[in-house]
Amino acid sequence: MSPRRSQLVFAALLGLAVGVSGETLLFLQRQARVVEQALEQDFRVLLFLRADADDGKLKVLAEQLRALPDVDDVRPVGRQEQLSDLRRDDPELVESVMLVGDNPLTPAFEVRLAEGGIGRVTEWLTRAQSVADFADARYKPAEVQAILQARFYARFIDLALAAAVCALAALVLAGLWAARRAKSLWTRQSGWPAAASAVAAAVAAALVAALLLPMRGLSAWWDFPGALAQALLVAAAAGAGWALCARPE
Amino acid sequence: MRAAGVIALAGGLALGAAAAASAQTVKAQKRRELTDVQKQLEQTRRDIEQYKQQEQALGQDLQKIQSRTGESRRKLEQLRQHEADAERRKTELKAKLVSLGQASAYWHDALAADVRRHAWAQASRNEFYGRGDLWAEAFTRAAALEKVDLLLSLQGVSRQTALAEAESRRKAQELSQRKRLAQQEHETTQQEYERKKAAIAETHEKVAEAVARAKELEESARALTRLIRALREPRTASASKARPHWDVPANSLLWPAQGSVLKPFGRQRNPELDTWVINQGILLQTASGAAVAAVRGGKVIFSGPFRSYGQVLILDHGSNLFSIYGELGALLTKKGDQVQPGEVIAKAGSDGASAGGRLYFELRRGTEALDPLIWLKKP
Repeated sequence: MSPRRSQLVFAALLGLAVGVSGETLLFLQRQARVVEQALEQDFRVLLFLRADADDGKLKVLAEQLRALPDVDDVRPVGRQEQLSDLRRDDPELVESVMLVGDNPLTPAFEVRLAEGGIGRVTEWLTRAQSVADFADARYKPAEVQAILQARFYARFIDLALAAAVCALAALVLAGLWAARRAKSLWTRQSGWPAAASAVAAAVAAALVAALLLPMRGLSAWWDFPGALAQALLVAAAAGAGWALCARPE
Repeated sequence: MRAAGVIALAGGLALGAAAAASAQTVKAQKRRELTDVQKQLEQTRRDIEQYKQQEQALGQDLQKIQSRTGESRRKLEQLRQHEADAERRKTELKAKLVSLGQASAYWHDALAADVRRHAWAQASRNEFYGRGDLWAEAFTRAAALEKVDLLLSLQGVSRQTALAEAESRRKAQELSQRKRLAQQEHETTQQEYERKKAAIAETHEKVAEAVARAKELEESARALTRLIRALREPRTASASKARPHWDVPANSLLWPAQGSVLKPFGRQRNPELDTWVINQGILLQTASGAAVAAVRGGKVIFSGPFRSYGQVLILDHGSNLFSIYGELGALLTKKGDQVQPGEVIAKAGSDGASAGGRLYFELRRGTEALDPLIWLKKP
């Protein structure tokens, strides 16, 4: 194999590895974002009043809760509404539990916290007790932990990708600097289009072979990185391939 | 007292025909007897008045007791009603307690089911996603708490009912006790009523008896008046003779019958009539049909029934001494018979109330009644 050909093969293999790694990171980042958003959309804090209250009082309390920091939205839920929802979701449960005959529930508030407030939900609950004497407060602590972990993973991958892109950029800049010194830049002998094409093809093949095809049959719940991110990845790979394969004549 | 008057009259009559005492002496004696009879009559009238007053007082007492009896009967009826109410309430509370116990058991089971359901829901829930679980948990929790409240309320009501039931039981016992006391009081009042009624009847009888006695005394007084009037008539020569010689020593006469002295001679208290009476003789308690003997030899001058004293026998022993035997059962001698000392002349009569007999005995010197126990031999 001629040195020229071996350079191209090396560039293609390197491009494939970088493509798989980069695509994996992009994919994980995307999934972490999706999970985070889904959990944040689901997460609510339920506050139950100790006794029944009329609509006017419920509205006043809702406004007071809404005025608290880290609150996105507050929805008052009356006793009958709660019962109707439960009867719709689980009628057997309602019928088996409601032996006494009365609706045992008290009015409640469904609070959606802001993104920054989820991690401080316990402190927020302490503040909420100053609004009213709530008989019960319910949320899923494990959900809070999951949100925070997903957020951490997404940020971490962001950081890793940013570092990788910076490294590629430095590599490209180094290649450009070496080519300008050799005055062979933009010459046909430099072979950079071949190298860039080889790396880009390898990255594309990696995307198709390693990720898209095996995961197509999986749940539609999964989300994929956007087209712009994919294009950037291919462009970065092409640039890196060129930088690695270009040699001064 | 009646015996004294009647026998005195009998003796007077008998002796008036047979005695040899002077007319003046007899007249004076009869006047004294008349005075005694009049005194007794006055006393009897006072007794009648007193008995009537007693009867009136007893009647008033009876009315008060009747009023108390009615009141105690009403009280008893009220207590019976209250006791029945308390018993009914006790029964109701018992039934309520049973009912509450069953309800508590039912809701206890329902609560246990809720708690199990809640625990299962918590154990099986998705800890990371889905807020619908929270609503269901809140619902089961609220339902369980509501049942807890209900159970606590039931337990509170059960405790109150148990306390009320205990109080009702205590009250029923107290009412029962009060009813018993009221019943006893009512019976006591009733007994008192019966006693008073009997006392009134007895007093009524006493009044009737005293009235009869007064009549008898009035009759005796009239008889004595007639006798005194008759003694004012001129007497035969024999009647104006001097008083015969008295040669009877004390404790020399035989006892007329075997027995004990039931009523002594002289002024005695009569507890039944609550007054003083003058006995002209003695009353002996003997065996029924006991032999009655002559205390001294003599002649029978009277033999036969005399008023309410049944068979009477009078012996003239001479020396102005006469012996009179009353309330006899059977007469064994007749008028004119001569009898020897200790000869059986009659049989004692029955006292009517027991198996024993009795004998009324008088001893007279002329018309003067003597204490037989002085002249009879010492037993």
